[in-house]
Order: sequence, then C-alpha cells, then structure tokens
Amino acid sequence: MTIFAGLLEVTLIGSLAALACSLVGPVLLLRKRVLLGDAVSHSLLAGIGVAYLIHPVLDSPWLRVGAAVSGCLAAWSASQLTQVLRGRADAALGLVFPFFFSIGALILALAAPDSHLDVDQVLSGNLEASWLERTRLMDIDFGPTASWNLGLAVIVIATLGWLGRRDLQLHLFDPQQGQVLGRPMWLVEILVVLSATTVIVLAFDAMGPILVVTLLAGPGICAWLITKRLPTFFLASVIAGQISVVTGVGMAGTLDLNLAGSIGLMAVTLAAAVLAFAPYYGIFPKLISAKQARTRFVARLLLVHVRQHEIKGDHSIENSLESLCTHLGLSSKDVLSGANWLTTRYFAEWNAQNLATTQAGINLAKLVVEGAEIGHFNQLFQTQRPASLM
Amino acid sequence: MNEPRQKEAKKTKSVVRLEDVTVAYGDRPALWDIDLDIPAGSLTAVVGPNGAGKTTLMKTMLGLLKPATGRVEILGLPVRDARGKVAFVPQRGAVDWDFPATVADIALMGTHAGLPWWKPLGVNEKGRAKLALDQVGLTSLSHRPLNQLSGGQQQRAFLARALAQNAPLLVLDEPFQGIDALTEKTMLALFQDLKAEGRSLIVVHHDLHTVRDLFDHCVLLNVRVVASGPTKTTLTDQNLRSTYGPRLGLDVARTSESPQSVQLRDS
Amino acid sequence: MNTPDAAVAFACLTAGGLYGLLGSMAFLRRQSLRGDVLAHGAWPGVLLAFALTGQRSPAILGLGALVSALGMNYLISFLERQFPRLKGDAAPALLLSGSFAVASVIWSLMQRHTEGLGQAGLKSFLLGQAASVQWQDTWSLILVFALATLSVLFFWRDLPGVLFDRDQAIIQGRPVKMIEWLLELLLAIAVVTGLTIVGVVVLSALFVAIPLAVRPFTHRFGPFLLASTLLGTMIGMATPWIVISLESGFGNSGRGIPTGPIFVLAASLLAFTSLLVAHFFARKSPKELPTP
Repeated sequence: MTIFAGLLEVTLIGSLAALACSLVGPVLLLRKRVLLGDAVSHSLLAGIGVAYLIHPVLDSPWLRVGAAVSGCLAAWSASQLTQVLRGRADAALGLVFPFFFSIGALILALAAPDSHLDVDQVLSGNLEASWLERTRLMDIDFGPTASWNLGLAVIVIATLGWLGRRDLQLHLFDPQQGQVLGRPMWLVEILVVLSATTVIVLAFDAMGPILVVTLLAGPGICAWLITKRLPTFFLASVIAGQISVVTGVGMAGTLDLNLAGSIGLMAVTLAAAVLAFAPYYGIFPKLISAKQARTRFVARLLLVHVRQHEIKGDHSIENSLESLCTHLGLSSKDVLSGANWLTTRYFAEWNAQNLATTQAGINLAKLVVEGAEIGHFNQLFQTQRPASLM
Repeated sequence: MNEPRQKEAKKTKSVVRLEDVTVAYGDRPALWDIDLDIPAGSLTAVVGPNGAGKTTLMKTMLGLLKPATGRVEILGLPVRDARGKVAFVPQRGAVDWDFPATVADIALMGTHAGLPWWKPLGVNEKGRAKLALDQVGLTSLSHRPLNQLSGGQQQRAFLARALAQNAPLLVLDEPFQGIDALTEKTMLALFQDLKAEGRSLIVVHHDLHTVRDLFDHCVLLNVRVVASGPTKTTLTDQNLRSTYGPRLGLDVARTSESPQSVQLRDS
Repeated sequence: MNTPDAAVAFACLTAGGLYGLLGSMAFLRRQSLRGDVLAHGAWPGVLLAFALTGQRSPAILGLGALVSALGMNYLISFLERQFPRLKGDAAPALLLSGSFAVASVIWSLMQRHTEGLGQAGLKSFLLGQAASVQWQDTWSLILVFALATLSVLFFWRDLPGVLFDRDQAIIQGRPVKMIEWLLELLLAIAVVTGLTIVGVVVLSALFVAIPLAVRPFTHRFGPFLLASTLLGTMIGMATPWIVISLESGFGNSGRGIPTGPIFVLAASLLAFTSLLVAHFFARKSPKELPTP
C-alpha cells in the first residue's frame, strides 16, 4: 500500500473527524436536522468556488473560509425558506443545497477545468492525501494540519458542550421550555449550527460532502436505539464513530479501497446492524416480541370468551376449536397457539373437543375482565353485566 | 331520492353492527369485545374519555382499521363491500390545507364514491356538489382556495364533501370542536334535516352537556362499551361515572380475588 | 454559435416536463425528498451494472440504476414504518450517504481490477453531461413522459382526492394503493432515465424547484400540474442553449460543462424569484393573492 507511511496519521485524522462528527451528529439527530448537515456539506462547494475565483490557488486556506461562509449562508437560507414555505423543511433543503452545490460546480467547471478538482474526488474527499499537509513551526514538523484543526475543533466543541450542557439538554428536548425559563436558546441554536458547519468544513477535506453525512448520521442512529440518557447517548455515538474508522481503515488497507468510502460504509453497516438487532427496538427483536405479544393477546381473548360461554351454558357447542375460529374470526393457527399458551400454564385444558377453563383460568378471566390488565374499567364491567363471569 | 329504501332500513336493519370486535395495537387492546347495534335513522353520539378508543371505533366502522376479531357490518353488508355508503367528516387537522383546490373542488370530491372509472363527472354529480354547498352555506365561497379558509369554513367544506356523497350513514369526528357560532348553527340544522331524510349520523362528541339535547342515541365507550342505547336511558349518572370515573384498581371492597392471583398475569 | 444537438434538446425538454409533472405530485405528497433518495440510490446500481457486465449500454446501466433506486425506495419506506421514532430525515440521510459509500467502494474495486477506460464515462452520471446523451436516452425519456401523462389522465378524477386526503379516498373505495404504487414507480423510472442529463447529485432539486416556481400563482390542482409541466419543459428547452453559450463564451476545453448544475440553477433561480414576488405581493394585499 502506497500510503503505509502515513497510515497511522491518516487513521488519526479519520478518527478525529469521526470524533467531531459523532459529537455533532447526535445533536442534529435529536433536532431532526441531520439533512441540514447534508445540505451544508453540499453547499460548501459554492464557497470553495467563489474563494477559488478570488484567490486561484489550490490548497489555500481561503478555500476553507469560503466554504465556512457559504455553509452558514446555506443553513440560514434554508431556515428562512422553511418559514416562507410554512414548515416544509424537505422542500426548503431540497431547493437550497443543490442550488449552492450547482453554483460551486459551475464555477469550478468554468474556472478550473484542468485543475485537480476532479468531480468524484470532490464528492468523496481525499483522506489518503490529507496527511501530507503538515504544520511546521520553526522547522519542526508537528504533524498533519488536518489533525491539529480537527483536534482543536473537537476540544472547543466538547468544552462548549460540557459547559453549556444543561442548556444544551433543554434545547434538545424542549426549546420552548428553555425560552420560558429565560435561557438563551437562540445562542445554543447558533452555536450548534456553527459547530456543525465547522466540523463539516474540516471533515469535508477528508470525507467529501456526501460521505461526511455517514459519520453524522450513522453513529447517532447507533446510539439512539441503545441508550436512554443523554451522556451515554454521546458516548455510544463516539464509540460507534471510532469503530467505523478503525474497521474502515482496516478494510481499505487490506482490500485496497477508497478510505473515505470504506469508513462511510462501515458507519452505515454498523447503523444497519443496530437497527436490525438492537434489543427491544431492533427489527428482529421486535418481530419476536410482536409474535409473543399476539399469542398472549389471543390467549386472553380466548380465555374470556370461553369463560363467557361456560357461564351462559352453551360451552359444549361454542368452545370447540371450530366454533372458536369462526366466531372470533381467527385462524386455527392463532387459536391453537393461544390455547397452547393457556394450557401450558394450566389456565385451561382440552376437554374432549372443547377448551375449558381451570380454576386458575377462571380467576385470571375475572382479573382480565375487571381490567386489572387492560385498563381502569373494573367497575364499569360489573355495572353492565353483573351476572357474567361471577 | 332513496326514501322508500331508507324507511325499510329503519324497520329491518341496523345501520352499523359490530359483533365481538376487538382492535389491538400490539397486545394493547384499544377496543375490547365491542357489541354495538346502532339503529338506522338515529343521531348517535359516541362519548368517552381520552384514550377510550373513540377514534379507533370510528376508523373500524369506516373500514380503515381491521379488527383482530369480530365482524363489522354496515347496512347488513361487511365493511369492505359497503364502501361509499359511509361518509366521513374528519377533524380539520387531518389534512394539509395548502393543497391547490377550491371549496367547490372539495365538495365535488365527495361525489366520486361509487362512480365507475370510465364515467366522467356529469350534471348529476355537479348538481349534488352544488346542493351540498348550499346546505352548508358555502355557495358564496365556492371558488375560494383552501388556504384562505377559516376553521369553521374548513369544517363546512368537509361537511359539504360528505353530503355530496349522498350516503345513508355519516360519521363525524368531533365536528363541534373549535368552530364559530354560524358553523355550529348550520351543522345543527343540517343534522335535523338529515335525520328527517332518514339518514343516520354517528358523531364523536366531546361535550357531555349537549349530548342530551342533540342526540337521541348514545354510546358510552371506554375500551369496552359501557352502555349504549337511547340517550334518555343510557346517559345516567351511574354509567357516566363508570365511563369517566377514577381508576379504582384492585379495590379490596369490590373484588374477592386474593393478591396472589396478580402474578398469574405474567407470561 | 452552435445549436444544440437535436437528441440533447429533446431529451432536456422532455426531462423538464417530466420532472415538472411528477415533481408537482411529489410535492403535494410531501415526498420531495424521495427524488433525492432515488437519485443517490441509483448510483451504486449504475456502477455495479457496469462492474458486473463490463457494458456501458444505457439499457444495462439503466436497469442497474432502476433496481438500485427501487431497492432504496423500498428501504426508506420500510425504515419509516419500522422506526417512526426516527422521524424526519435521519433515515434518508443514512441511505443517501450510504449509497455513495457503497458506490465509492465499488468504484475503487473497479479501479484496481479493470482498466479505467470505460469508467471515465460513468462520471457523467454524477452531474449530467449533455455530450453523452444519445437518441436512446431521448426516446426513453419521451416514453416515460408519455406513460406518466397517460397515467395522470387515466386517474385524473381520483388523483386530487388521493393526494389531498388519503383516508377519505380509501373510504370511498378509490384505488389508492394502486395510484400510489404507480406514482412511486414512475418517479423511480423518471429519475433513472434522466440521470444522463442531470446526474445523481442534484437531480432532486428539479422535483422541488419547478413546482415551487408555479405554486404561488395557481390555486387549483389541474392548472398546478399543467403549469409545472410547462415550466419544466421551457427550462429544459433553455438548458442546452445555456450550456452551449457558456461553453463558447468561456472557451471550455476538455470535458465540457456539466448539464445538471445548469438545469438546477435555472429552475432554482426561477423558484426563488417566484417566491419573492409572491411574498412581496402577499404583504401588500393579503386577501387577493394566495400565499405560497
């Protein structure tokens, strides 16, 4: 691998970028503004283009300044447009960011057609070369500039976030409440947007506008499903980001792939895995618990229904498998699994062809009906049908 | 119009019948073991506390929700086959009022039910829409775009849509919520007219004080049907307390079960 | 000055009309974002189709794009249903960027194992390239446009109802699911066929900009769709001319100017202007003109 010499430093840069994004991403996620990050990152191109026109030097720091300015401008326009469109944020973003991106793409196509600003490089960043730009002070090489920039950003943002953590928490959960309490929510909002823009500008070099969103959205989604409190939410997000970088670099190294793409892919894969398998909320766990819930539900239904007929006296006709199926409109599979739930717990048993309750079953049926399980209507049931189930 | 058929329905059929209907979200029942028989030609109110399942009941009657068990019949037909025979007036918030359409367009939408796809909208449909707009007093606003309507006007537009459908049953979701006096007056007069025509109305109503004056039947709902029938006999203090009353839980005085039976609940 | 190639001119014109038509409906369904997901989601499909077959024919690439786009569409609907807590834009953001991550990896795999000759042409799918548009693409676009128009006409009576109040349409027994399925399919096909012209990155803007440009000036469904389609067609007609004049004006060497950004800029500028004009007039006389 040709980048072996700088592999460690590239990993450092990627890791710092992931760290920065995984701190900012969750905030965007909770405020339902992840796409704002996407929009901002696309709109950076306009700033880069304009800055290039003014100062046509590649790798000039003015490019970053231009990017930051246009990023903020795009974010501001998007929020204004959302208001004009009466809350249609999807349309606002869908209009603003391609607009800015197109301006940038056009400028670069016209003004720098032969430059190395290749389209797909712009889109996927250039992490492989990011370590090459060094910070030199008095002839001492202090390491890649990118890591200093990112490191500094992380420290500043983390410090700000920590110092303002109570206001941040308010802002994330209930900004109106924050306003009512007299806390400066407007300031938190501005700082959030500024931090996001800074992080995106800095990570843009490494990851490119579209892949940076993987690090904004991915770790956040991972953390979302498996944590319950804000501090652990951020912690999990950071960890997820780091895992993405490490595995991504490893994968890119062994299979000789694009670094940014690999990291992005790992971030998305991790998020997908969490979405599929997270306890309680993941897709597969939900499927399993839904099935169990349905069986319990049908069991209770059966129990009450069966008991009712026993009291009425027509249980020999109504409580057979067939009539239970037809009367309740359930499939025999459903009825049998529900009945099975009851019989294995000794709430009911099969008497010849019919399902019959045991004493424990009778007790449970009364509880169900009296609403101990379902809600608060034990009283009302006794008013309406005093005779049944007593 | 449909006078002779309406009278026959009054004698022989109920307009809505629910048998053993249970509707659940996951394993939480929103409606449990509902048996309802609403007579044709009645003005029925559905009342109950928040979370009682009123909206769920309506959606089930309209065929928007499929019950876990039981049967729903409209005019003797299963719900799926009775499409178009039930008109629905939803809450205003159900829809994005920025849609490019006028009041007349909305009223006309009500006439689509039951029209085969090849038939264009003809004089009959346009006439029904116009009549409906007259009945709700929106004729002068026929060409007003939707995003310039007040809340009461929106409600009346929905009403016109339902009227244009010319259905024997109308279901309304809290129609008196947040409207102006004119709209309220219009609606009340309309209810009486509809009843005189032999149509049935089922209304989710939030104001207990007016149920007795406006509705001849009512359904008291709290996940189960507490009581249903003519308002005079059904809207008793006892029933109201049962529906809205505080949760008593496993009251010692009332139940005879021992606490140990609680653990039977767990799976 | 040169005139645009006929194939290109008709392709742009048709694409404009198509996106105007479908975009107006997507806008009313609040699904403007779908276009973005479909467009970004098509990109890995294009790459895979090329990687697996080595062919650059529009049919093969188009098929790959379509499969990928539809898969992405299904995924996003699935995620929205399964995780309602993940409201808003987290799922689309993940899928959009994820598609590009996958594409990026495929791209680098391709670079290692094949000569880069065929690949360079694929880049035109990113931002659109008028030069690479052939008559095949044009005819596909015309076909899709015809299909879309026919579908809209066929369901003309039910469309406003389904888009305005879905539940009501179900209650009235209208074929709601069929219509929605058809609209989504048409959207996917339209995105895929227009990729050569507009590219994956900015295509979604057309679905938003064109309807937004006309929305303030009409308050009825039919005129809205029609105006949107017409405006789209006009912008489409203008685009190749703009590209040519820019190219001759700036003496662009090498690859030529990407068409996508031009198309989007034209549409967006019109949209912004419209909104400004409407906003300005609305403040003067709030009752007269409808606000956007």
